[in-house]
Amino acid sequence: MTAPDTQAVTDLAGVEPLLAQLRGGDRSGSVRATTLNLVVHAPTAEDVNAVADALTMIAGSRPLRALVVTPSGGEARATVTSSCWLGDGGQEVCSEQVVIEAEPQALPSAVVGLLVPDLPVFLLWMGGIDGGRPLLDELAELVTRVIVDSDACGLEAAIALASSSVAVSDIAWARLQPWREALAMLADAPAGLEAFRHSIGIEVRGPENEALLLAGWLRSRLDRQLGVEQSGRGRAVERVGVHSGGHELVVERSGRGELGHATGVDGVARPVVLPRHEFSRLLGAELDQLGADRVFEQALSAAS
Amino acid sequence: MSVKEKRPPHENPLRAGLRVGGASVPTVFVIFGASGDLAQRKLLPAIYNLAVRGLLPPRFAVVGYARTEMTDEEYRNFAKAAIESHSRTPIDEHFWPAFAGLLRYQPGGFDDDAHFHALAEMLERVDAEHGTEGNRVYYLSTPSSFFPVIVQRMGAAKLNRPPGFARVVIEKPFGHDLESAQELAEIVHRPFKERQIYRIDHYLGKETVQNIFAFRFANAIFEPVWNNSYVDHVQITVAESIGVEHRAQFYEETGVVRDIVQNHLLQVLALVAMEPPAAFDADPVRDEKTKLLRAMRPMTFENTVRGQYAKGYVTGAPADAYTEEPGVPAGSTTATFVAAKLEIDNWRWAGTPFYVRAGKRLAKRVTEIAVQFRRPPHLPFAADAAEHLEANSLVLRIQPDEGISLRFGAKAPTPTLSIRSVNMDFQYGSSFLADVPEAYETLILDAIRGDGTLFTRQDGVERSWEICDPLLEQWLSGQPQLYEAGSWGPDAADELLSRDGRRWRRP
Repeated sequence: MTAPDTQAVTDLAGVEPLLAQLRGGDRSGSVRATTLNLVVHAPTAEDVNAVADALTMIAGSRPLRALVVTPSGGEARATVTSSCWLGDGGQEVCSEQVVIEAEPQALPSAVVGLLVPDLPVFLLWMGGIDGGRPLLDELAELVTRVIVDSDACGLEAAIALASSSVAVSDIAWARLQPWREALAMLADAPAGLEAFRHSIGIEVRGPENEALLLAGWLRSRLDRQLGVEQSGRGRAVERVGVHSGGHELVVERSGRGELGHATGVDGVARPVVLPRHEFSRLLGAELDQLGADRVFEQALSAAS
Repeated sequence: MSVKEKRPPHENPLRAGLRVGGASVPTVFVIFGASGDLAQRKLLPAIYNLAVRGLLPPRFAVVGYARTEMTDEEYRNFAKAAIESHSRTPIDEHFWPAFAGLLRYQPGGFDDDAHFHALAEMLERVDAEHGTEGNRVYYLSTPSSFFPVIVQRMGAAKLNRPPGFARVVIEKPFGHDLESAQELAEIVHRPFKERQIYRIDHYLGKETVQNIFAFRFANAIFEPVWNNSYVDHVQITVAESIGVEHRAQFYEETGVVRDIVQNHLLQVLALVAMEPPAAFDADPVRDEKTKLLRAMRPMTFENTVRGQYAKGYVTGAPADAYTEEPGVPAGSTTATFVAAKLEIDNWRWAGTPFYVRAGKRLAKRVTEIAVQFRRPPHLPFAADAAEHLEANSLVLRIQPDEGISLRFGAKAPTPTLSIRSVNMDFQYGSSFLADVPEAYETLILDAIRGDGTLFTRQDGVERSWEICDPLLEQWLSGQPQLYEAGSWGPDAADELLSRDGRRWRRP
């Protein structure tokens, strides 16, 4: 990445001209490519830094305009950054980031004026939801999809949000993808699927939130009631067992690495890869999906 | 590419909504010629990158088969060295043990039944250990002269009839002419059905070649003008700046038509000119490509120019003549350049020629498709206002600097009305700085998934030979015209267009 260009303005009307200036004044003959808008609710400086780090990892392959909003008490002000990445052929891919601080009620209007027209809009909501619900509702009206992390906002809040008309996705759910993939693999064989169809419970060593999501997923996919037991205090899932009659179908991480094994009804433990994806990769994957994630919505609905 | 994986007969509800994009059906990938150049430079790095990206099936194994004596462990070391040298992503030491565990090796010759039976037994053991359920993708990474004997031995050892599916991937050349292509097909069709055969043309695995599909069929604004009413002619250039390098023997046997035109160039042309397929699936796409090739007239001596590079300078460095290259016999008449006018007799393209050129030691490396539109029927401007205005053109650049350029007329900022041609340039790499997969990654993944869309079908191969064979026969006599290395080919190539009142675009 080339060194980002950053400038601050106190008049939000000055943001767009400043972005044009940072792009090099839209030199004649230049063509700018932007694929999406990303609105980020970042209530703390730590959140702003975290999202800035994530954007440096993902924005090169998804040229975007990020509008990072931070509710504050003072007058509206913005910091504008244009970051460019050099491709193998020396070509530049640029993304823009505007950090806006303003009173909560002023933020939606600030966002509306700065969205790149006619492109998908995602809202990444960092932190809890409760206190910010009015702002979330207003921003949600502008966007294609809301991305939350139910580990941060709580599963109940995510369920409540999903029950409104907005499409929702969840970073915590995305973290479970390798585990769902490994469990699905065990159901590829007819005997494995039969065992899942007669399963009675799931036991998860890992965060409660993820345990509930996995249980909701199995309930909704298999259309049956399953009990759920959660253990462990770690921040990541370490083991999942599905009980079915005399069988336990197991996916388990081996040590601290990314390797694990999956054991099906034949009792043979086969190697599986259980990567611990970083936030930036998970967010990037969410931005690649434009439609609603029906499987997640059904899992969420069945999770509680 | 679309996922056309053969799933087990029962539906697995847990697979719904998994955003994989990769393969999920358990598979063993068997490489014949596993210690060869292609395996080292392309196949092993491609498989490793697929693994790193999480796109391989969870139950997967690679079995290398070659004459070199090696143990599993030695093959893992061999593969690691190959991947370190040729992979687009460096080896992740944390991930390597998991990947290395997927690699197995079986030494054996290509013409020995006992060795093939030993391979079959090993594959059964791999199935048991890795849970791969008898599903096999065989990749023939050997010189094509070995294909007949390998597929015959595979049939004898029943490798074509495993408990699961069996697919065989073969590399070009698919024959030397129509007759040899049919002979090869007849041999391969004894143990394998056509739908099990994946003829790989790595050009079709390039992201930007696939982007032709997206450009034509995902946008409504271009297709209405994509015909002889609006398009004056099309130019396709496949230019290399390098010479034959260490491949003199191969090139002496092939020449530019067999090396580039019969496969890569005609395939790209087919994508540009074919009718929209009903679905982006293997048979609808290949049906339309073959239909287009059937409508194309065979190449003729009168409408082609053949050339051979002479001494010159390429990008500032001196370059030897073709006949001075190591391994090339003095007095060789092998063509290193061809320019041709191709005509398509169908409703869409009748009267709109496709000019193609391909060659080695040309001015620069470039592959592009230039669609030259007709001029406006009437220009309502003063004669001098638009006298330098060129017709619209749309250029799809395949490599390097992948992108799309549109040339159109715009008013110049002058006090009097003056129209000038301007280029609007879209660079693919300026929109998506993505980690673009190698063509072999795309094609290997498609073969594992059972998606034949980007592979060539036998009827398309045969029709391509029918187009090229008459010219190749005529070229058995006579001499190619010499062109200076670093130029755009012989002068006759310019005359080929100038006699139609046209000229080559300068890429």
